[in-house]
Amino acid sequence: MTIFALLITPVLAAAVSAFMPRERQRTIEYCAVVAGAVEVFLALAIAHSVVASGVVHASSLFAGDALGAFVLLFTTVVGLAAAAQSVGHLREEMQKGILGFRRVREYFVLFHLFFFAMFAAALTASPLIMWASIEATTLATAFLISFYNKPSALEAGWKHLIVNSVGLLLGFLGTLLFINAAGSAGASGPFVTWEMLRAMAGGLDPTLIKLAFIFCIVGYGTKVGFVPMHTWLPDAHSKAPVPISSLLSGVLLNMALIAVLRFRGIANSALDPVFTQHLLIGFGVISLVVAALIIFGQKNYKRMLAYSSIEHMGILGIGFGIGGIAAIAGLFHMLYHALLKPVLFFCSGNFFLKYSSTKIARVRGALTLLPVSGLVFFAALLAVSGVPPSGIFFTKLSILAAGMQEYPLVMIVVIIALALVLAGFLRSISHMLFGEAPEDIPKGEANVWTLVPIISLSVLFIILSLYIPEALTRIVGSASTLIQ
Amino acid sequence: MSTIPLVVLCAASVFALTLLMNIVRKNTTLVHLYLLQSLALAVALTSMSFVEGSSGLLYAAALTLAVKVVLAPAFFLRLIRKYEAHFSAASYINTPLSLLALTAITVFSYAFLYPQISGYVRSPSIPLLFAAIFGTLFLMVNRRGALAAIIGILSLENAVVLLAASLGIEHAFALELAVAFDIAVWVAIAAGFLGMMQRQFGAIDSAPLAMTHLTEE
Repeated sequence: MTIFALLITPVLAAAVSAFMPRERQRTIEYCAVVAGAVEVFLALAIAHSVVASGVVHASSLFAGDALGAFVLLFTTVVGLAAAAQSVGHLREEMQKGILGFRRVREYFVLFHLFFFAMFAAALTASPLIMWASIEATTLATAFLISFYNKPSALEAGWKHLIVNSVGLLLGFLGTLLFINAAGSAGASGPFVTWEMLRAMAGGLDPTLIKLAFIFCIVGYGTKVGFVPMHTWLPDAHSKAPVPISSLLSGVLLNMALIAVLRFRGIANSALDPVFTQHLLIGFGVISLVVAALIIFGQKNYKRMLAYSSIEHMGILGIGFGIGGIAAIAGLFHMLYHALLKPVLFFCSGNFFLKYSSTKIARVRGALTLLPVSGLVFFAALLAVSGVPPSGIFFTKLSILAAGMQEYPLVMIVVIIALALVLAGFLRSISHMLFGEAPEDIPKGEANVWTLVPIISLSVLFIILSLYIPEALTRIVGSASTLIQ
Repeated sequence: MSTIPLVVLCAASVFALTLLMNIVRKNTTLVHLYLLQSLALAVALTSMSFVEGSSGLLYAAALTLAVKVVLAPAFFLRLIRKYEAHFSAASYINTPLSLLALTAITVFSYAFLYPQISGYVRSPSIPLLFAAIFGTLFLMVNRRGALAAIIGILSLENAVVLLAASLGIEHAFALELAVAFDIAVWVAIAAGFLGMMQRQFGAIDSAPLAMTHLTEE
């Protein structure tokens, strides 16, 4: 019941938003925030049930397991924050005459549909429905990325649509090959579930599973943003409206990575785990190194954050590839990154509203003009780089420590890349935050809606860096068994 | 199931039509080739449904006929007329080199990919369909036209669906409906992008999208 309620909530919110007239714009905005709050509540309820009784079955096609519940927790929290940020950000852009009511309404309809697709992907018991849901996220976000109707935004949206569609079709092929292997091992019907696949994983043909996993990691890995399939990501993240960038980075990439990891868990039972380990570590290291080099020379702060997402997907790939304690650290890293990256994107949105530019060179004295956003951006950038006592410091340390035993040379490369990222960040923020602010730009934050999400997510990140609730530890522990 | 002669013929047609798509220059021809490819898929699914007695495959064939043979091509032909985009932009490499690349792709499918699957299903359809999959990927990479990219993706989907059916993966009507709906929405969104491209750049060609706009701001 709770699962269906969570699936229906964004659909209802989209329907309400779609039929609201111009004079009821506030209703659309409040509807987004209320729907976000309801979704957080329902995700907590699902997590509670999962902690109490393991897998929660809603039907033969939908069920909540520990991995799904874990992802839903941060997806809904970030969703609520993004809804509030959207209200503030879009109001400001309407005031500037950049957007009209119809565009805002369109935005919120697509926003809710995007969440419906993500919830379906997290909660489905069927790999095929998960594929269709992840494909649906591509469709829902295509127009959100090209939302501003500028040539650059159009290019970004087009790239996103084409590259991800190709990737996901390869992922579809990989999914079908997994199902075919299960069919040959005795499973019947097209709706082979994750549980069925896991139960018969030991009997699946290793050669076929190898091929299937390669298609899955390349296909879904395109959506994750693994290099070299990442080409859509920096453009999409930098051209989409800020709340959407935060969702793409904080939530959507993780959702696709979860898909890879679910297949990985099955593949590991069918063949030597070293195969998937090497693939994940390989994609992870390449992504991390390429992102680090680009971050160091980056001139656009939104693109810098986009490449930071690729960097973190690389770290996650390495962590999950190594497995064991590093996989658990990877899940916590996913949570911390999901909370922190939206904060950075929201702050970058506030910079854009103030300076009307995403170029680092044009942003000076942000600490003076935007004291809250500037300070939070500074702290969040250090935290996301892994400066202690940030939770990310501990997750990175755990991954490095675990990796050092088996892959010391690789870990040295990782440490150098991480140092390069930190140096790049420090170079950029020192230019953006300090120095003399332009005199023609008035001081002060845009509105309270653009601050509340930043502060709320930052507080939550700090709390979870210092204290991890017992229930969360249990969910992460159970989730880690599904992906190794 | 995958060794039914008609299905093998259809798989060969899908492969041959993919090769042709890589050679033709007119957008209208490209759409017609996609129509024929979708028709081959529908015939293959129908033939499998009768042999297997599977109603799911028959529904899949009906949906393929409706969405991919009738609706999508009609929609694209209308767009081509509307935007007067009868000819597509040039490819990145010339025709002889494209054919060489396609030959390499076909050899790769037979020599590397098919042996991975042949322990399960031995059918001449499988390597042909793998070659068609990589052939459509090549089409998208090599051609500059936005319409070619769209047709390439839809054609890739055709090859994947026929490969799945040839491997013996069962089709449920609900799943087919979801995939057909997905394709229909995808086509509508892609068409929306074509319209936006036409307004921004005066052509439905991805050549102006040479990433010049993404690096400037």
